[in-house]
Amino acid sequence: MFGYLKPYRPELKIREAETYKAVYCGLCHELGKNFGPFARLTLSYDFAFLSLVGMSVRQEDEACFGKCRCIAHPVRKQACCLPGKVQAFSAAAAMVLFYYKIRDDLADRGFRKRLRAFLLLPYAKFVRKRALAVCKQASEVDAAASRMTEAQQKLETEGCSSVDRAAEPTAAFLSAVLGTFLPGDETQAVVLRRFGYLLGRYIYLCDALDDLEDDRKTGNYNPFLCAEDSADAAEHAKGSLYLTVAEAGAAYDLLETGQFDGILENIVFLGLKNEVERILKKKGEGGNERSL
Amino acid sequence: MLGVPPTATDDEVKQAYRTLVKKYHPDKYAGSPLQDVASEKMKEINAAYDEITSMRKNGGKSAGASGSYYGEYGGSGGGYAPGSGYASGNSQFSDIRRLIMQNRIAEAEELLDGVAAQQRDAEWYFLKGSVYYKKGWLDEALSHFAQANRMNPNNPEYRAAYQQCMYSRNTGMPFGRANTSGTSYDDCDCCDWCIGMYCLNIFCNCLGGGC
Repeated sequence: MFGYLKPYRPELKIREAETYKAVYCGLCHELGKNFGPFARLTLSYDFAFLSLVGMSVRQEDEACFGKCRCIAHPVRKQACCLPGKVQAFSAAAAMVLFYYKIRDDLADRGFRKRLRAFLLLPYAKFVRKRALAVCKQASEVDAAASRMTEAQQKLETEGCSSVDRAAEPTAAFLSAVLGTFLPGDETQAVVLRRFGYLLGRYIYLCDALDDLEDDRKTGNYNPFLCAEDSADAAEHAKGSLYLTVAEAGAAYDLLETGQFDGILENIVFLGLKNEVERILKKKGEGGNERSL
Repeated sequence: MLGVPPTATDDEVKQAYRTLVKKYHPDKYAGSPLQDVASEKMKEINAAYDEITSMRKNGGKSAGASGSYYGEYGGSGGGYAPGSGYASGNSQFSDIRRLIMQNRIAEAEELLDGVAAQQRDAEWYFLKGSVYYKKGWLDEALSHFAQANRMNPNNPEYRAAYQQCMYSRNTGMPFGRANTSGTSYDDCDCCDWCIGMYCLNIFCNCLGGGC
């Protein structure tokens, strides 16, 4: 995943910002503890979001907070969400996905990317195996990720021109992942699956929009460029993304959330939309610099 | 259920109830695979509100029957859901409508694809759009709703579906949900103005088509 699911900071309360950071730190620790220091580099906002959703809907796994030391902040101890089932699941999911990302890069056209992937492959294989051993539900994530990669490759070689069809593999993947959170409650699982589907779709389309210019230059596959009228591809993408964000919001409203609902609401109703605007703005300025 | 303390005043209870009605409003979930979940929630909220109001009216003695303020929303919901109020009895696709209502999407899609090209009328496009909407294929859903609306601009069902999607597409907000934050994004005002004009334009087009 790519780090598009993040809060809109200006509207976050200070205590929410601190809680968010603590969950993020907790996930980083979990990655380091289970998979070694290298794994920490794969940390992204998306998995922090996954943890937040998981802990919020599974109300029996109340998060505990404590203080911990961190390499990035050596002097003061940081507030940190202590390890739990959901954090372990997110960390394992991150590792499984890392493996499939490396496998995907191996098939890439660019030589440097392929070389990097080739060198990282043994490590990726190791962490995936460990993830499957550490976390029981990781096997479901693994199966879903494998289906996603296969379907994605097929679509790209076909040069699929339907945005909906192109987003389907990622959407189905995240739908399956969120669906594992509440195995006992079928009604809420339906809501979670729809929510996950739309978020997966959002992530895929955001990534496609972000890569629009690069793909236009290099000729790589991009669903928005394959559509009939690729001139206002960015406008098309914005419409599709807004539609997706709105639907995800409607699904979120039916979710029975416990803790962290303020942060989740911020992400779903402000963060997602703001991220689309940030990407579009970056394009408008023509530069590649990232806004802070 | 309403999330208010027992000490809340009548106004506070009413306020909490209204907020929840907005959140779970059937129109927002019309045609969605989550429609049943939303209407179930709505029923629970109506029951809770009825109980509180009647308890307070009777001085806490017993709960009698009284109609909730938004009682009309409690049922299966209005809006444009296939199979709801607007569905015409002589529809050639009533079986397909039923399948869509039951979330049997794959079967409905198969039947729809089997319809010969010359028989594909506005309703066919609307139903195909509904199937896409339930699958989460939102772009296809919108373009099919738009086509249905173009072919039969007088049908309230098709128009509602199309307008709801256009609203989401322009605002990035679920239908009927106000912006949660009071402040605006750091976005230029002229963009907002453009969107405003765009919405107005659509609105005018629809009116023009309707008359």
